[in-house]
Amino acid sequence: MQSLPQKLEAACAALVLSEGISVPVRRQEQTTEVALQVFTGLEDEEKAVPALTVAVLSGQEFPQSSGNFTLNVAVEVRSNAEETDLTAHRQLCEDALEPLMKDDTETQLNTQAAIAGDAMGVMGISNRSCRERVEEKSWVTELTFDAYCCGLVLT
Amino acid sequence: MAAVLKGRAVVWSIGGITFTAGIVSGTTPEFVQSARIQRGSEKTEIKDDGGIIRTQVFHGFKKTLSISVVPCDAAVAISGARTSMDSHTPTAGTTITVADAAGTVIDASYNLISATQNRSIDGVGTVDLELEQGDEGNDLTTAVA
Repeated sequence: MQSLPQKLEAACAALVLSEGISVPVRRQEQTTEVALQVFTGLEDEEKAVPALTVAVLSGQEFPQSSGNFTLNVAVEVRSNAEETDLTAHRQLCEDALEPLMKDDTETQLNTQAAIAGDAMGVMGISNRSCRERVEEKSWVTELTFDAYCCGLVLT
Repeated sequence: MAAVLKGRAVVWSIGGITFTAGIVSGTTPEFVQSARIQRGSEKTEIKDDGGIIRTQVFHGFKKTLSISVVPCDAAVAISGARTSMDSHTPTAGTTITVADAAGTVIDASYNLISATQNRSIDGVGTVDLELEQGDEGNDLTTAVA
């Protein structure tokens, strides 16, 4: 059984995966379309890039004793700068992050949770922010937002 | 050797405040976030010919109760939460009966002076209630025929 943060991670990952996103990658002097890898939470496995990681590592209950939580979501898209040029990375980010930046993101996340059979209700998305940086030899783009959720299916 | 204090019992948190009339928590529930009860009165001071206060007259005793709530649904219906939000915003003059499981001072029926509904783009909807009742055995909630 997953906890509420893990259910939200799974719903975000499923929403991105449903877009079927790929990105051109240049390896051994050949350019091929590589599917975006999607990971959730804290994982110790080796991650192949390009990759999107969605992590819900903190949150706060409000009101107290309600069971409703404001969960802090961090979504990171990472590409190898030696294989993917900046234009392709930014196109990847646009495709991958768009589902999480719409005004119906809550509805879409609830739909993905229902498909997975997870009891979860997202009531609102707020405080979206984004950041782009270069980290060692990687392009990294990050989207963060708060999701107000409960562990029940809302009607 | 002085005694080491391990602590003292105090009243923590809200302690179980509910509405039983005017607003009915059993039907349209809420999370009470804060409650503030003030017992006060008007005061008249009488001075002597030297300007010294000789008498204080306390009159017009009144209890003023301020409560902030987060309206919610009893189950999982968003529509129920919206109904509860409106139920917690009745018209001024409505009689609201409040029950307090943690004390007796708050227990009473009050006249609603104001109900303020607060909504923001990135927050939970709340309602602030201002309530008043007489504090000398005079029930101000009885409607004049």
